[in-house]
Amino acid sequence: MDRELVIEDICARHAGREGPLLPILHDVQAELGCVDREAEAQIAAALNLSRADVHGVVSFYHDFRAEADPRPEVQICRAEACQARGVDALVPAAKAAAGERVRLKTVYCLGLCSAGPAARCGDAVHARLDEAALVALVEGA
Amino acid sequence: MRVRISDDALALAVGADAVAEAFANAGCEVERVSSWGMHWLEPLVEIDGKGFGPVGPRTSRPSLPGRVRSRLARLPNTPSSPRNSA
Repeated sequence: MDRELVIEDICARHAGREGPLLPILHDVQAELGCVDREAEAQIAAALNLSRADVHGVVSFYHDFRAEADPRPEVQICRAEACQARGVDALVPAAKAAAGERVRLKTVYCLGLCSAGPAARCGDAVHARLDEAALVALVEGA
Repeated sequence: MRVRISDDALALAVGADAVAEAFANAGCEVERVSSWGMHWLEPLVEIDGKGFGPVGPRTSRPSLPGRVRSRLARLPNTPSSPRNSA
């Protein structure tokens, strides 16, 4: 389906809902892989918002991407608690395992501070990771 | 026999789903509860009012009640051994 039609359909799906912007952005990214400038403009027009309003929200949340990237993503938490539990020592092995196939992303934080190091792949979170577990997670992504 | 297992994000992150599946496969009645609030003990299972955790192949199986242990063929390989509690 044409991109514009996809976005139109998503906006229609959330019409009348209170606070529709974030659900729309999530759906657009899920279906198109990104929320680019054209999508922002179309969503802004559909919701009667300014492009600046929409771009402000999109750029505030790091999970939204401006360009589609089909590679699987593994998010590694490198906030204070996970650093204290040694995540920095695990990162080189994770990078080596990821290569160009998996996109590694640093995040702050996954809310699993009491059991770091923590990582997220898709909708699953993983905690108490050691090097072998993190490498296995990256290789299985 | 009823086994209660947490369903919060941290429990899931350390393999509570796999633990729950293992107990269910062993014929136990598994009830998922919200959060025990004791993350260092996750995956934490409550059996007949007593808590056991972290449940995993290395640490906790020997400490489980004998009648549970005998029914569990194998506990899943979960990251259940906090490095600081060895």
